[in-house]
Amino acid sequence: MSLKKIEQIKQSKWFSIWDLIAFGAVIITSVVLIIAFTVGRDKSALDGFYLSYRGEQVFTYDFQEGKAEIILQDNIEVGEVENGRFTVRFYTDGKKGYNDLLVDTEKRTVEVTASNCSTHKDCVYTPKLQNNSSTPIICTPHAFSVCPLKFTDDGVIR
Amino acid sequence: MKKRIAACTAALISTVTACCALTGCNKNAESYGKQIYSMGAYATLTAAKSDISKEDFDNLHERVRSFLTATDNSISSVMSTSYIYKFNMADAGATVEIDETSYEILSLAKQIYVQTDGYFNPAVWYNEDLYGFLNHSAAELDGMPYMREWVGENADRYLPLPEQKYVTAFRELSGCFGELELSQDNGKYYAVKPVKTVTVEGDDNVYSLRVDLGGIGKGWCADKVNRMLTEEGIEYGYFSFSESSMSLKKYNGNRSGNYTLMLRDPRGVFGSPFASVSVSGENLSTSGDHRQYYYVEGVRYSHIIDPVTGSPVQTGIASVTVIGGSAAQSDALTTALSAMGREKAVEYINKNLADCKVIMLIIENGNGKIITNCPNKIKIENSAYKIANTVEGGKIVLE
Repeated sequence: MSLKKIEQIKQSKWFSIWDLIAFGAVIITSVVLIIAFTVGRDKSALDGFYLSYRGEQVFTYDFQEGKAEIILQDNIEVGEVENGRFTVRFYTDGKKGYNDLLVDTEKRTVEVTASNCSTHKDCVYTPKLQNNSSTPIICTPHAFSVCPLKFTDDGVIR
Repeated sequence: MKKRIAACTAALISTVTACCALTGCNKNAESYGKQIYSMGAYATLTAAKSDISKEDFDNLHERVRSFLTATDNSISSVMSTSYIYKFNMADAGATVEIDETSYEILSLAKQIYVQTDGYFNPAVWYNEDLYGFLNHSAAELDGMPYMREWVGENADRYLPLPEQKYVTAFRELSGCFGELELSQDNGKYYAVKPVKTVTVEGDDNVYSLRVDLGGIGKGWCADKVNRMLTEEGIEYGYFSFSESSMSLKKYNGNRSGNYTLMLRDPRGVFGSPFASVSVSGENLSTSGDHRQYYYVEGVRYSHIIDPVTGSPVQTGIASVTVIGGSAAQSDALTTALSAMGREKAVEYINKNLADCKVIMLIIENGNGKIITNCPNKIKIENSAYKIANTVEGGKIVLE
């Protein structure tokens, strides 16, 4: 290598404009990846939910396909859809106990609105399911629960 | 040119490294999760998809479900076919054959009964029933002369307080739990019921000892399921039984591998926490007065019975969480610490639980205080609550 070439390399800039453009692209991509991994991952809209009685599924609803499946006919009554919302009534065996649910197909949420389960009605006061990481709604006296169809573990245990 | 290549490469490596660091560069963060209904409560089982196939997870779920059902069949105090039910129904002094599960849990309960000076006492069965906190589905248990009618509706519903003569008699009966004898011979297990009985004036019944293992059973199950997860090679996931006991592996969604455990505020809106703690690879249990309770003349009566008074605890300790050790032990200890009261509980923690993280919420006159031996490990989620102690040499010092 000639002395002239070495001098040229010594005098050349560390970064040209194209280098900076390349670095910028890498940084933007990194930021997008960070957001995708840390923020977006667990906040996806609720794909669907299932109702469980004594550990067995009795009803499922898939928001993406708009499809409901009643597994135990005697325990479930589904109301008509009005303004994108419909009700589901769950009955315990013998129809002594019930839990009423409101399903919003546009907002993709489901909540328990009424129950004759117990004094404190924890299930009614539990926040609605609104994404795949939402905490299941559990009605212990009726051995009944409402769970996201697609389980995603968001690392928070309540 | 080489300088540029070197600079570009260095920048790229450092950016990608930073990106990986921030995102945790974790394994596939997705998990399998299923619920199991057992012992009148829900359990949750999760495992990372990177640790186990769907088919194997489904098999594990079935194994766990069978195990929980079998345990319930052994130790249920209301199922007429269970070993503990048979023990409860036997005459005083009778030798009752039990199974290995009941034997193991009763043995552990006896150990903790001694360790806690009787503050963990699973023999407060009649006192729990007296205050309306037992499931009365079995026909044999209905019609007890001490039972009263519930009054009111919904949140105002309550059970009128029992006659003191019953509280006193049943408290005295529970005190003979230490006399329960356990033995095994040729693969068979036996429990000998204490000979002590009590009677109550104006009541023809002769009452003998009965036990309820609900205060230790869920923790015991969590320990066993934790072992199953380990055997399956599960590194990421957890098992949670009701809100009572948990066994945690690591969380696969962040770099630390820690779960965020939210401790429920017993006086808050449903689900709102008073504090949180990051934790992984631990067993833990929590006990609070928020789920089963009622008010009589402004006094709150919860399902946790104080073995010293025979009545629901009035110590002001509304919630206790013990992280560390076995889940069975922490399950029993949370109940015992609630009954001990603040000073005794702190003394016990300082002496016996230095290796565990303990968080207690005390509610007095509507004000909440947190007492803990790990103030630097918890995050306060409700600013109305403050930590009311310091820690010196790992020991709690009350202010």
